[in-house]
Amino acid sequence: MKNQTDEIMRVERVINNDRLKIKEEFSRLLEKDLTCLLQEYFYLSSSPQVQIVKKGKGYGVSIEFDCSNLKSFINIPN
Amino acid sequence: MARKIVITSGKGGVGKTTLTANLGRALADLGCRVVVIDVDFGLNNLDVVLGVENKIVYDLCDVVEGRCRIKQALIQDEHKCNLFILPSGNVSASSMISGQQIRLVINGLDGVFDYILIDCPAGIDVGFHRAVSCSDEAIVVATPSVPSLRDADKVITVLKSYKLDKIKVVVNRARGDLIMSDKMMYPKDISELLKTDLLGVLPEEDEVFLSSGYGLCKGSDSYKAYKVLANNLVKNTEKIYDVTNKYSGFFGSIRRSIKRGI
Repeated sequence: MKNQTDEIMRVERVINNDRLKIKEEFSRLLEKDLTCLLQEYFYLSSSPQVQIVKKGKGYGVSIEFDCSNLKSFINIPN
Repeated sequence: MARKIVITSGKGGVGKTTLTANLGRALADLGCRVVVIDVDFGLNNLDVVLGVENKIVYDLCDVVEGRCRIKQALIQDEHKCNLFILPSGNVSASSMISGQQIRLVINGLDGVFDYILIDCPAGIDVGFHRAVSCSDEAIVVATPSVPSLRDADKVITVLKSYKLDKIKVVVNRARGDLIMSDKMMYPKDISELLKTDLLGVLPEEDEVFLSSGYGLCKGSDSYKAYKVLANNLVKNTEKIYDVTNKYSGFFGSIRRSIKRGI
């Protein structure tokens, strides 16, 4: 059974995605790709959260994630 | 000078035509001279909602194409002498009619009426632009559902590009019992989501369905809500009809239980 708060959040999400002209799947895929990429550099303790907002004629993108440690680089011989 | 207000929504079936007719009646009750114009060519129903479908001789297309004068196409409401309707019809000719031609017709009514309400077709294609280009203000009708609000937001974005004097939202089919039970959004939340001021709230009531063609019964919740809405429009006030009033308190909880049971 739906409730008021869920419904408001759903409308907010749908409207914001429409205003940003991005599909809901876009954020999910971006987060998935970023997780793969960031795992090469960090020991992730949470999956990255992407927030996209309209900024003038473009977009402002902020990525936030928590990690327990940084991965050390290994020199790969040529 | 008349206030030209387009009633639009984006999504179909949210109650644009019903609102146009009942708001026209409510404004006429306040003593304003009102004309309601049907710009929904082909899917015209304003005449049916106002119960004048048998009185149509000429329509908007005839006026535009010069087959009659505006006064010949206007139909006076049976119950209110200060309420008129300008019907539309003739689907084949509608594609040839531009917004500018309708604007010329509307300008001809400017000095005669206080309010010109324009019933806009659903969607945001040619018909929508034709209706909006003739207006100075817009009322966006939305129901408390995700598809309706999504379309309303898109329509508001397009309306903003027209630089109209005012864009306001009317929440239609609000159910006090569901709002009180935390299952429907509050009209104020809807206004905030759409970032647009609220002009009024109309309750979901059987009376609206039953009164189609006859006018709302005085004393019904819908009649009162339309009265508040018309007053807001005329006096520029922001009073909102409380749809939850009947469903709060002890007796309200009994009413809610009965409605849930039904």
